[in-house]
Amino acid sequence: MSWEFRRNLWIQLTPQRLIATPLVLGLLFYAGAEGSVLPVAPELLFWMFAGFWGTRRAADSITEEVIGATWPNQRMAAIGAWSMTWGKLFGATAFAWYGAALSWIAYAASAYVEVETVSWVSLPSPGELVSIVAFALLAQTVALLVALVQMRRRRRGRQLALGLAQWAGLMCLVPFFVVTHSFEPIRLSTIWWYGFPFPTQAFLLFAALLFFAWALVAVHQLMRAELQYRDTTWRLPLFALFLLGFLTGLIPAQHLYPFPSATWIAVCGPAMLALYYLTLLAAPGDPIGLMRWGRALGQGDLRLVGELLPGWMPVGILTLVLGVFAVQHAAALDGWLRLHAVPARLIGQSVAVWVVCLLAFAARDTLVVLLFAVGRRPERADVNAVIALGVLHGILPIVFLSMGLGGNAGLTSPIPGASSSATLAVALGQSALLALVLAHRMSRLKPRIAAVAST
Amino acid sequence: MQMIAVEHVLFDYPGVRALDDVSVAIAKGTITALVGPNGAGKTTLLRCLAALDTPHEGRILIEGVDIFDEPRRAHRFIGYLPDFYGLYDTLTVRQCLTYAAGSQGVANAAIRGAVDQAAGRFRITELLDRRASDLSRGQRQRLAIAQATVHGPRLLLLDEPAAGLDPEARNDLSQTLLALARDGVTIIVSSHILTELEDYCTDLLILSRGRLVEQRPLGSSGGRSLVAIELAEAFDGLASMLAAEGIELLSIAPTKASLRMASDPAAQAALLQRLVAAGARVSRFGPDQEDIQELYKARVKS
Repeated sequence: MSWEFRRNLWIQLTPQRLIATPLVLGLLFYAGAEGSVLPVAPELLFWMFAGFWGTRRAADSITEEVIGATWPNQRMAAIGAWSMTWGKLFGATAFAWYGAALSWIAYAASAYVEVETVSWVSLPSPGELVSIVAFALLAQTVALLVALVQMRRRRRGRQLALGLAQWAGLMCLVPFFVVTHSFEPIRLSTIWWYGFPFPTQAFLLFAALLFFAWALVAVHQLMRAELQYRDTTWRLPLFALFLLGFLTGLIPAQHLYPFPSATWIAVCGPAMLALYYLTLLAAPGDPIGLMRWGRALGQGDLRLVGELLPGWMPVGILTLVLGVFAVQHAAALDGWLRLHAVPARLIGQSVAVWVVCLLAFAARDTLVVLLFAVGRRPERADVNAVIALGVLHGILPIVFLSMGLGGNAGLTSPIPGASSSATLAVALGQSALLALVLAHRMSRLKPRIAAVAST
Repeated sequence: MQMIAVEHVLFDYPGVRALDDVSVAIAKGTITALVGPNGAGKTTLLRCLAALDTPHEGRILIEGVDIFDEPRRAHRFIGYLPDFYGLYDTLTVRQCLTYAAGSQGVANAAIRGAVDQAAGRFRITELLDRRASDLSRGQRQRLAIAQATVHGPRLLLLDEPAAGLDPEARNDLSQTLLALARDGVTIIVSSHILTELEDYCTDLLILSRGRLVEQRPLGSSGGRSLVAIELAEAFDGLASMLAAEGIELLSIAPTKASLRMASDPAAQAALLQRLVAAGARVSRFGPDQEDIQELYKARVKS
């Protein structure tokens, strides 16, 4: 048994908790079954334990090590990356799973006592149960992943780190709730994937398991990096390719060829762009790492180049390739957009120009994020960058539009319809200016002899 | 035998070079005091030695293992106590030590023995069933060091281990470190409490502004010992005479000198005889203790 799992069990499953939890839950359900004093839905309790508390515990399995200053010793432990990953994922959430399992068991027991008073809720079928468990696991793994990302960003505030990680985990449950609590036509519909029909709920389970596996791979990669394994960045580009493959499967075959079709570009392009921004914002704000990467590149040390390569770079290259496809097939894409009722005025005169503007602004945004990463507070680079990008892409265009200066909206964001050759020039100009500022800041970061010698 | 070889190590933080071309060789079984002002790079050097941070240039070999290529292998025989260490407060002392041993790769069958040995060595046996949160500051410090040594490391890195300890506990720590060194463990201790380091350290490393400014053996070690000479009146030829004898002169003033020479009593008696014969009015000739504080001040200031 993993020592990390064992240690977590010591902390999570104390005798007091093991005894008190079934007693409290039993009383709760008995009261509910007896006289509807407190009608308790087992599903709600399950999600309270496995969803809310489970995501919190999964994220806290990292943040409490950092705050408690026990992380350096864990990094030096003989525990391998997989063992550390599942030890934390299943160990830190052990009590959450205990409570979640008890909530169903206690419900079943109370339902046996007083069937008619609790007939408004029903126990899930085995298939539904697997789906519920899969989504809970996905949510917890994503929470752990986001906590790890933030730890590598050296974020100090525990509550913020925990809140973000937990929020990200809980967001993974949205598709589950949307489908399982939607109207019957949606719930019982069929999804076609690579020509195979899947009932919607089965496909949801399939997707949850796939993304759970990838989230686990991502946690494992970050854990390897933290535990000082020497690794090249290959899992993230592989995930990007998987995502393209997953989305391609959802496109009917007749809309896929000739490849790359407008439908494929319209579906995969935005997904890749979103993944690019996500990886860019998740990358550790590490200017020294960037400098070392540049130096390794200059020296032709390919192993080190591979190890220090920021994950967003290969994803950016894939995004760029999709952008080139979009420009090449601009006419078909224009037709696709019009077919899908996107008003012509939103597209503007040329889809090709808009796509190039999109890429130019993505390059500008990359420089904005890097500028914050080499700033005074690199641990807040992601938050500050999100605020800055929110202003550039949201607030400023709205201000321009509300002032009747809609033509200027494209100056800070690739607004469809407001993009033209002139906006492209503006985007490139902004990128050049930011590149100069970045180069200046990087030159100031070149190490000097420590001037700190206070005592 | 060499335990650590640090070769031209360079480590940068944004805008600051924390370690600047540091090269050090440390022998097995020594206790090295790592001192320097705040921001000198002590913690960074310890973290690099612990293979927790990777130097940007240069290399570090621990028992011949390159920590850049094989950090995980190096971890197996390193024990590290950071300056801000943490404990699992809800666990008992026994659970803390058991987890530390198990997670550091001690075989299951040997864990109980390792726990008992570490607890005995750091006098926490009677606390084994108490929660870590219930321990005093000194007891917590002892538990933390016990955790760092429970897997029997051959290299022990301690960052400010005496902080928060009372005088008795500090004395215990000194004795324990000496015992570990006698067992062949190489120890590096970073501390600001210089007077204590004199009691148990065999070597001294001084870092200042990321650079190594001094590395030398301390006091009596390697068959050589410190000798103090005091004169009743100034003797002009003292410095030149000692230099001619090939003796390492540590400090000199008109009426006193501190030097390092062979520990052999016959050699020391012969030197005393020659000094008296040359006309020096020797009022004291005997063992000396090196003042790390003075040495530190002189080297850091220079």
